Parts: sequence; structure tokens; C-alpha cells
Amino acid sequence: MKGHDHTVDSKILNFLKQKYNIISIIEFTDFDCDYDILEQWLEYNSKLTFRHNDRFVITHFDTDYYIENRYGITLNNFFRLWKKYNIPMYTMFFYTNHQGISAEIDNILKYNDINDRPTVFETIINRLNYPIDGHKENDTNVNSINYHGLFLAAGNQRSHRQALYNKIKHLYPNKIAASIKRNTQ
Amino acid sequence: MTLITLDPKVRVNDEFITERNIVSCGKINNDIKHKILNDYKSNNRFRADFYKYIALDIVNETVFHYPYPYISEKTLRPIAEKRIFILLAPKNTLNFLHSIGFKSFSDIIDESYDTVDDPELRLLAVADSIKKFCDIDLEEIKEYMIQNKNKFEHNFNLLSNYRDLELSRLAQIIEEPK
Repeated sequence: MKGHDHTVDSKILNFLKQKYNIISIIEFTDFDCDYDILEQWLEYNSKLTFRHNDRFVITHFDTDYYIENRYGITLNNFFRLWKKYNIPMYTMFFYTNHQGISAEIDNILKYNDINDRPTVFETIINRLNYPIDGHKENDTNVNSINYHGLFLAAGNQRSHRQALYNKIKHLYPNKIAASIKRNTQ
Repeated sequence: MTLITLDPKVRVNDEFITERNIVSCGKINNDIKHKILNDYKSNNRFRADFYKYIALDIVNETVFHYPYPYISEKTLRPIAEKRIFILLAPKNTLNFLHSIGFKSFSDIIDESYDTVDDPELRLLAVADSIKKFCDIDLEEIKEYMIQNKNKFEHNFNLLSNYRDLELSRLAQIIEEPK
């Protein structure tokens, strides 16, 4: 959607292109809870007829706000808007790292024709998570080990990271090596 | 069309502290950077030389109180670097890794945290496992890692081949009649 490399693994995308006519790719991070952006994309891509092998690839590797750990707000809003523009569900290839989310999607679409459902592919592989190509393999070298553990929390603020560190901070720096940023006062 | 939105925009429900308030989510007092991380400059998420200095990666996954196992590069990195790992992650994330063929280290890490439903109690269980691990003599841990080299190699090889496995699975999914 934007002029950036999407997160679909390249070999998986090439495989999909062999099987389908990929019309467009959109990532949940592209609209990032700004539903005007999503609506513009849906409006641009909606049309009267779709061929049997037309597909949109939807990448879903972003986190969602869950109410009571069972209702994903962004996910539900996404499907509501998709239905609004009457794009057939079968054209959706939903590529996600949320293991088990197929059940939630099935529930959202429970009144949809069973023959008009997205293909949901739950996987741990995407271009950002799996840059194993070119990774230099290390031996299981233990000679340099001087510390028991490593604690990295230099990304987005998350309460679970702060809470765990508060429980183990007495182990820093002699047993646990840590890098912490943006989770501080 | 009625949509549910949050203002300000929030992309994850980070509030898992219950009324019991067992854990403290108070912000950490200072930014911290251990000396082994001082020279780290790599842009490659899987190329981190400082892994050679540590035995256990405490994986602080993107989400914790979340309905699904959620695997990011944070979980895959210790597998690529051949290190022991413990997961501060949604319930059953470790079980999920087992289900797709990865091995873990239950003989040196108490992994019972993975199935604890209550998020506060699960976090406490992770903290306890870390503390128990840190009570083990480092030389004993190194010996364990040498004795279990096959486990690290298995995980690394599985990760290296995982994309091909996923392509085969994807082919089956696409060919499956609906």
C-alpha cells in the first residue's frame, strides 16, 4: 500500500503469485487504527466483479486491543469495513502470526456463506521475523559465557517488561545483563 | 457503520494488573545498558554478538496478557543464536513452539509458567524460574549446554528449514477443497 517493503516473506509471496492474481497487499500497520485510510483502500479496490483467483494479501502482524481477551477491536473493525464494501471474503488471504485467530475470524464471519471465507494462514514467518537468510551460524560456544541471562527492553513501553524487571532487578548487573530504555520514568 | 475506536489510540491492552496488585508495574528508575551491549551496532535482528556472553535469553515478547501465542523475532533470536530461553509471552506460547517441533529446556528451566492462566501469577512464575536458573552455578549451566548441543542444533536447523515447511503447508491449504 505504501512505498515500503511489506512484511510478507518473499518466497511465500512468490508462491502466492504463482497461484493467484495478487491485486494488492495491505498491512494492518498501514492503516494503524486510522479507518479512513482503510476505507480509502477498500473503496479503491472494490469493483463489480472479481475473478476466481483474484486475491488481496492482508498481513496481520500487529498487536490488537483485546476486550476481555476475546474481542479484538481492530480485527472486528477491519471485517466490518470489508463487508461494507462488498468485496468477496474469498479474495482475502489473511497472513498472520496470531496462532489460533482463525477461530475468532470464523466467529466474526459465522453468518457468511461457508463458500465465501478468507484463507487464514497462521505462521511465524515474515520478512522481519525471519531474516535467517545470510544469518551466520554460531557454534554452541560456551567459552565466553559470563552471565546467566539477558533482559532486553529497549522498545515500546510495556507493563509486563517493567513488572518482570522489578522482580529480578537485584540480579543486575552480575547475573543478568540488561538493556532498558523508554520503560523508565 | 459503527466502529469501536479508542482515544487516544491504543494498539494493545497493556493493563493486566488485577485488584490484587501482586506485581508492580512501576516504571524502572533509570535507562540501563550493560557493558556487554556497549559495542552493539548491528541492524540485523539476528546478528547480536553479545549472545556469546549469556546463557539464557529472557524473551520479553511484544505482548503478554493476550489471547494468542504471538511469535516475533524476539522468540526466534535465541533459537538462531543457540541459547536457552524463557518466555514472557502469552499463555501456551511455549506449548505452541513444541507443537511445531521446537525443543525447550525443561530439565534446567522450570517451564510450568507457560500454562498459568492468571497473568500476574504467570509473570511471577517466570520471575521465579529466572531466579532459580540464576542460582545454578554458571559452570554447571555451561556443561548442560555442551551436553545438550544436539537440542540447540535441532532448533536451529528447524528454524533454518521452517520456511520450506511452511511453503509445503501453504500448498496443502491452497489445494484443499473448501
